Amino acid sequence: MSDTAGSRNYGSRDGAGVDQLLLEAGMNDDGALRPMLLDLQALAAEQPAPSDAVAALMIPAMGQTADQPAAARHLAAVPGTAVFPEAVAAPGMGARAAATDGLTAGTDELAARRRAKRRVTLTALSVAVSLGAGGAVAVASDQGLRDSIGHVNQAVTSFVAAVGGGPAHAPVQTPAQTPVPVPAAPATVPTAPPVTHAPTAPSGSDARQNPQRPPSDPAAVPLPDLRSPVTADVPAVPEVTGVPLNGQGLPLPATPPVPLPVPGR
Amino acid sequence: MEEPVVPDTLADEDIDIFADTAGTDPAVLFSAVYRTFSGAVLGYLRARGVDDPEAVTQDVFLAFFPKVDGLTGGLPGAKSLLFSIAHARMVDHYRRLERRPGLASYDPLQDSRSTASAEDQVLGQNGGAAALLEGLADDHREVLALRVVADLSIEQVAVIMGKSQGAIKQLQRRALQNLKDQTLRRNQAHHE
Repeated sequence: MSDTAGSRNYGSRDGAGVDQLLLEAGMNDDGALRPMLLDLQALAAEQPAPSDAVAALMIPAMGQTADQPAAARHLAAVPGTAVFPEAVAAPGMGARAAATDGLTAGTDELAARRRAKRRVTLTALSVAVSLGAGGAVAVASDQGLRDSIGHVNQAVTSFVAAVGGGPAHAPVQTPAQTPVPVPAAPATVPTAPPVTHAPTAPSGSDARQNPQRPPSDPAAVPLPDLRSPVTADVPAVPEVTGVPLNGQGLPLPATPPVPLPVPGR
Repeated sequence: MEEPVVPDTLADEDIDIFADTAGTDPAVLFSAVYRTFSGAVLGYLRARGVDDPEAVTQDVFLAFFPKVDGLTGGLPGAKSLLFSIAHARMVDHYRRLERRPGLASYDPLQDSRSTASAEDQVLGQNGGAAALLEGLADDHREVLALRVVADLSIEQVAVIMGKSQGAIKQLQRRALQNLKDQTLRRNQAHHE
């Protein structure tokens, strides 16, 4: 088969192309080159037998109507059909699809490699980002860490308050300590002024413990009444409240405003 | 003076097939192209020294098949496309060869203690024809293979090699001159 086809191809074009080439190069009278070029041209005489994949592509599609466009038939044959060994031998669509599948697998090597590289980079990046985000969320949701941060914050606040001793921080601590001794004061020291303050001090402590109640209590106990006794009983109150804070602190007049924010709050 | 666009060696039915490709089955077109040009593709790949030229020829036609539907220009267009693919495969082959480490394997042809057998002398005629181009520069080998073996026109060779037609004319003239000089030198060495 191949010999006849090859001789048919080679036979009639024998010398024409070579003569044309020699003529274009201005060497048409060269007797040595022509036989060499004819030998070279003889390389195209042998027609190879088609491989199985190529032979499958040569089989016309059976069962297709003649009016159907060739492109549509071709496109219908190309997409993924399972590649079975018997499909190559079978005529029609399956064999052609098997051959084209093999073709696409063989020709897109470089593109597939590039895509794989990009995919690896993107996957590594996304995994790193999600790991970082997950770790951050886990650390942030740890109750122990929150507590420790709260403790550190509290310790720093108390240390700053104790060392710095600024007038702004003093009121924060004195209200926490004053309510406790004040209810005790009426029981131990039956002085008149503390007795008058006793109802007010528990109300202040209640207001601190139950934040819902203060709106009703301040309405019941007017603030102006509270201030005037305090200013009147200055000598008694500083003994209770001023000792832990200002041991030698003479600025006792400065401390009376201390309880004021508490009932007002 | 002008080269025929379609070789006159084609069978009439093949020419008829390519006269109107609108409603033709791609398999029929593909078969006609294979019958017409597979030998030239194989010869071109042999002339360029590609390893396993038969297998590469099949790969070239497999790569050609998906483009059959969008084919324009009839049979010359198919021929240009086919040899463009073959040229690309040849370039890929030599690029792979450059990346491959050089191995010095035993070559019986280089062994001076052996002599060629009579069978080799008879069967190796095609290899001898391909060896004609071995001493030439790469561009010269390429232009001669495309012009002589593939039987392409200057325009088609210019498109495939990415050069102007004038450059191709210069190139083929120098290639023929070098081929002639090289043959003379070989003959002189053989006689001495």
